[in-house]
Amino acid sequence: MSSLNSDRPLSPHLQVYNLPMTARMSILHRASGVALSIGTIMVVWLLVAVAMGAEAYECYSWFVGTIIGKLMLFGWSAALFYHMCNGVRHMFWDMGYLFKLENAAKSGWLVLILAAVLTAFVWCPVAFGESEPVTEEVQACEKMCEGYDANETGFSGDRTCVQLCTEEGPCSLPHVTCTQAPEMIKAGEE
Amino acid sequence: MKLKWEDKSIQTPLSRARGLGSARDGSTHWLHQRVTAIANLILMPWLIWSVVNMQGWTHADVSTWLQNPINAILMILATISVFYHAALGCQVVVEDYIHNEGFKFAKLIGMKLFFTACTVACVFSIVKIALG
Repeated sequence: MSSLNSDRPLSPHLQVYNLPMTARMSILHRASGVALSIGTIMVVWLLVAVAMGAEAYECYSWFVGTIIGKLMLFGWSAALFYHMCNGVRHMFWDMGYLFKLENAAKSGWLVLILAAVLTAFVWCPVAFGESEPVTEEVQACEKMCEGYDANETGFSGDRTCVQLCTEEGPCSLPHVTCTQAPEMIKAGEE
Repeated sequence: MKLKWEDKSIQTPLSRARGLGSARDGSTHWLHQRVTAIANLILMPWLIWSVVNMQGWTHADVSTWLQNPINAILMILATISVFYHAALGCQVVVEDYIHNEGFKFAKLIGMKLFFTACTVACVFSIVKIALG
């Protein structure tokens, strides 16, 4: 019989023990690892949706555009950078470095700061609205949309006509691209 | 000090020389975890950057992007490496925290099947998109 199942009293345990910062980081490494294993299903969804076609992708794209989707994506990226930086710390331990208590703590803070900086860096283009690819399609769209209010839909100028054509809702949309005639855009505006 | 069992081991000399222990895989698990970690260290920053900044792209944009061989190859490598790493990591977590043998067994098998399915789904999708 496992000692875990016995009735013997336990010493004061996790519930009453104030974990030091290094211990919190240690369990957070595992927690983030498990969370990432689940979170990376977002990538599976993305790839399978793109392979299935425009309609399936529209559904993914809509979900990631919602607040919950954005939070999940942000959490995924932050957890990944934390797990990655702390993983490097683990590799230093594997090689026999950073075992002094003060070094373990210092490198822990370094990991937290680095993870925050990297996450912020990756989200910079999104935050400042520079994440859209300039493909031929976008250029064509830009030309077609000249004269229309670019910021009305919250998209930057080169995406306005896509947004207007696909405003009806997610998932059930036919894939409408920028090559549509300007009349369609006007119809979407009404 | 010599331990009692060292003189009269039930291990065969060959088994002792191989040094793989009772689980038969010695340090393979540990080593694979590290090797995939190093691979992820290179691939994941690229993957995070790509997925985060893909927000708002159209289907055509993402398809064109994945049709670039460099992106397709990196994506295949990233998904294989990350799901193998995840399977190894989750295995340790389950082994550490789940003490009911039956439940543990089911979880370990289920996880392996799940991560294998994820990898196959990703790789097939990438190939399909990349080859148009």
